[in-house]
Amino acid sequence: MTEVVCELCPRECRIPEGGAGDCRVRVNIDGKLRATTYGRPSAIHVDPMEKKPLYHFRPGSPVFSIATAGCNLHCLNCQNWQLSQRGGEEMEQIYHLDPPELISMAMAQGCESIAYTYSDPVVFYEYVHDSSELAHQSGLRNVFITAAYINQKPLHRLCRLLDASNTDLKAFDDRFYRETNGASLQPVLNALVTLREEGVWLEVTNLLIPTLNDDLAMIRRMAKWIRRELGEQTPLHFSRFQPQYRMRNLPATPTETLDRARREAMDAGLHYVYVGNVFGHEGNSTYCPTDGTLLIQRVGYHITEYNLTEDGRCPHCKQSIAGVWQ
Amino acid sequence: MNRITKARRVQIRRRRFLKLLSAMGLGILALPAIPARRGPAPLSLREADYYRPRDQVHKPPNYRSGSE
Repeated sequence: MTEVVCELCPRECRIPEGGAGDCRVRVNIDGKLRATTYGRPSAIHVDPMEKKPLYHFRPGSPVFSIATAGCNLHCLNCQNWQLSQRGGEEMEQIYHLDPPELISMAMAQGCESIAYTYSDPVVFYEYVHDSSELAHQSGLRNVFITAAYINQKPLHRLCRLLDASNTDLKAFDDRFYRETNGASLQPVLNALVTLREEGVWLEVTNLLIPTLNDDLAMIRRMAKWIRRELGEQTPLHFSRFQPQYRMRNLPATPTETLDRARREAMDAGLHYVYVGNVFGHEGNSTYCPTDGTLLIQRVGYHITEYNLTEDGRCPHCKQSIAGVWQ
Repeated sequence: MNRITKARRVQIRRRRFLKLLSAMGLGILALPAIPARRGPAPLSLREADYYRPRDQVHKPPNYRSGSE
């Protein structure tokens, strides 16, 4: 019986023959580790880029979004738990879509990017890698929506194929990661720095859960870390929690909490701080950090006003706005 | 000209037979006649990257995993 050690993510699961890793989808069959959801997505949608959320990367463009079963985190508040907390064999719906077919389908749908999203794409790493390679050859871009619980070696290899990432920073607190997500903080911070160093366009999302990670002092520390390690131009999205899955005992995040967090992060020096999951909030929109001009107005996932110049500048003060606009 | 295909005729006969069985309270006999629901596509056997047999796991001095 050959036990294997998966070295994809910091869990480094020891997997006996016939067993699966903690993610449920990487299975030891006869001493070889198999990526059982390779080419087997269970969710396929065409979304606007704003849904990822990516606000500074090709705004308004349609993105072909896929996910397979499985996840290497076990968040008590998971919003995709029917997908993420299951193995491939438990899914009722599995498409057979190898990378070339995936690229053809994305192009046929008029998408210019592919998003690996919904569950965590780390667990279908090989599928992401091969599809991303083909996508680049076909002129498509790759978007990685992740909690970034991944080891450095595989991440470095993937970065050269990624164009943008929205990465969850679930809290600036290791205890929160351990108790709420079944993970740890430091590997995520390492991954964020790597994504930045490798030149992947990076936006960060922090879901604020009442009483668990909404402490303003912690938010200030997080914002300062982002400014120092990732840069003041890194967009930060504070997202509203909704009670679901195994965390129905807490209320939805009050808007005032999101407002306070946004102010705190802006005071810490971040230029682009957003509020998500609150329809019509002023924090959905992009403003010039120099003169406050409204640059992109968003309502839900829709862009209702777009004032950036073609080369991504404020129309009034000509300040260059960080992002990938073309 | 007969517009009903042979397959359709078989289908009609089968349905009549199933209705008769269920009317007689013998619906359970009809189970073998109901085609099984198509299952999901078989899972992939693509070999994963980044793993090692347990007995070959050794970390060189400069190894840096995300957890360190």
